[in-house]
Amino acid sequence: MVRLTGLRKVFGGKGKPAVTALDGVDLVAPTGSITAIIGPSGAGKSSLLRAVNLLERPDSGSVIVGGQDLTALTEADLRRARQSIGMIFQHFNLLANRTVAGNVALALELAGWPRDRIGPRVAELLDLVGLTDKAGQYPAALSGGQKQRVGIARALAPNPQLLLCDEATSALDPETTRQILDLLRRINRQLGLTVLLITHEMSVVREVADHVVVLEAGRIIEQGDVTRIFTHPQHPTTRDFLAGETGTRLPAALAARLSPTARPGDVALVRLHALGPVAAGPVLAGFALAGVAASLVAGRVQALKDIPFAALVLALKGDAAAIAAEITHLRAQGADIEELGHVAADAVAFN
Amino acid sequence: MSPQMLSLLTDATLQTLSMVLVAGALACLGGIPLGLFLALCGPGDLLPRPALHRLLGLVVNAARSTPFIILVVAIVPLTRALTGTSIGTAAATVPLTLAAIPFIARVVEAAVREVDHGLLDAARAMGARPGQIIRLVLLPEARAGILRGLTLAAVNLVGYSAMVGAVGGGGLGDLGIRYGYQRFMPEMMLAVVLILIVLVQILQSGGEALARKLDKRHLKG
Repeated sequence: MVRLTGLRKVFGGKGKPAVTALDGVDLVAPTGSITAIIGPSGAGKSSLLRAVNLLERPDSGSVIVGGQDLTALTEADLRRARQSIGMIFQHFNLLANRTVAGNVALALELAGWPRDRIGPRVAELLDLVGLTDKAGQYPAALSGGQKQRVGIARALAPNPQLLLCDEATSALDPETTRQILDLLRRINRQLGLTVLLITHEMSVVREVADHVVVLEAGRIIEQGDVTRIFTHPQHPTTRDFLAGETGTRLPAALAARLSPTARPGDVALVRLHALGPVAAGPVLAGFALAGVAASLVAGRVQALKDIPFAALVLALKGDAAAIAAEITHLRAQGADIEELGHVAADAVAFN
Repeated sequence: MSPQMLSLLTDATLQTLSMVLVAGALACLGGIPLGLFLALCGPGDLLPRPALHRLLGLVVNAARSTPFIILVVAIVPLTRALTGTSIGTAAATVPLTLAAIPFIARVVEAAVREVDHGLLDAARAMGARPGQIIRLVLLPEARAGILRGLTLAAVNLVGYSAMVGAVGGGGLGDLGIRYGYQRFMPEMMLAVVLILIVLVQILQSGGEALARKLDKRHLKG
């Protein structure tokens, strides 16, 4: 388990303007879970992740990994503790002058493994990440996805209990990203490894995370189970991130015409998040049966932990009471419905 | 070309080679550690020693900004103390070494600082001690850059060794000035210049070939 308490970190000072990277962060990542930390750039994600193995020592607060407060350790003990915390990086950070096998072996050499045990362990790891045939190649000959696999093998080499992923897929194309995320998920399940990752992509969160932490300006603004965050996002920043991922962010022209109150002939815009049967069910038909014309403005249905997850923006035209009744009905079934406002019917092609 | 000339040229070439090799080797002994110190011990570096770093930085800059010919004359007492004389090949090795040390230090520093900072993060995250980071990460990753820097230093030494000829240091530069210029023997001057060109060419392409072999950062076709 990882428990971060009251982390604060301020950069600058001494004449330069001070920047608060972490402003009192409390976070618990349960053993064996994948926790995703998401936030806009400059939110402090990287500082938070780098505080976990003290690559960046926080100004105050405690970092407890596996029952040990890392901030209280001596340099030598900290180095030993770091050997049970693997880390992978956005730009892989492989040694260009070592082969694939040599890069993986480095982690074991640093951990003081005897030579005769290093070879078999390296082979085992290259097999785990599917790079056995590349053992003798240098990183320059590998693709981005292969380099990250080497990074993963290197991080896992000394049998860590925790894996830190610093934007591990941000430099990869979507297909490679999916493969690396699948690998992380597989490792998480097979080895029972706790994973802490930071990302600015909600799709990464959707594909691998169990828990989500939303960071903004050095503070946690929302955290919870991934299903809860996707179906019932609370904070506006979380909603906005989610809208980007689900394709339900309103076009600027439409958003500009939104009004909080309805004028005669207006239609209501709502954003709906629903999981499972509700998402797969006849949402539009439900409105139609209530005498409300519902049209799909934006959105999509994706898989969230293998369950259908719908994120839709609907334009609703009809009797206000009927609309309210149907919304209440859907909410009772577990859907999250955000009433965005009202626009003139022609804005969403109603006549 | 007369046999006499040929023997003069052979001797001078051997003298130049010995000056460059001896001064180069000695300067490496001093310059490489100094370069590592400059690269690793600045403020915010791996092993910060800011006060000494500043001092050595100043000394290196001062040594590098002193014109070589002035350095040669200025350190005559030291040269005499070390070699018993201030003229000849052995004596010339002293200023050559002293001039090459700060140069090598700076090129080594540059090569080590070129190593991607992300590798330091990765090594620290794996629990590496500073000594392990230097030995297993920085030096192997910087070796091609260091070798290119040393090649540059060797080529510079060939040039400087020709200059010490002017103050009785022996070698090809000495030959060129005394025979080619003062006795007006253009064929001797031409031969000296040609040998120097060939020498520099060999050093440069040899160094580059070795650096390429050691450098795995790029795919080779």
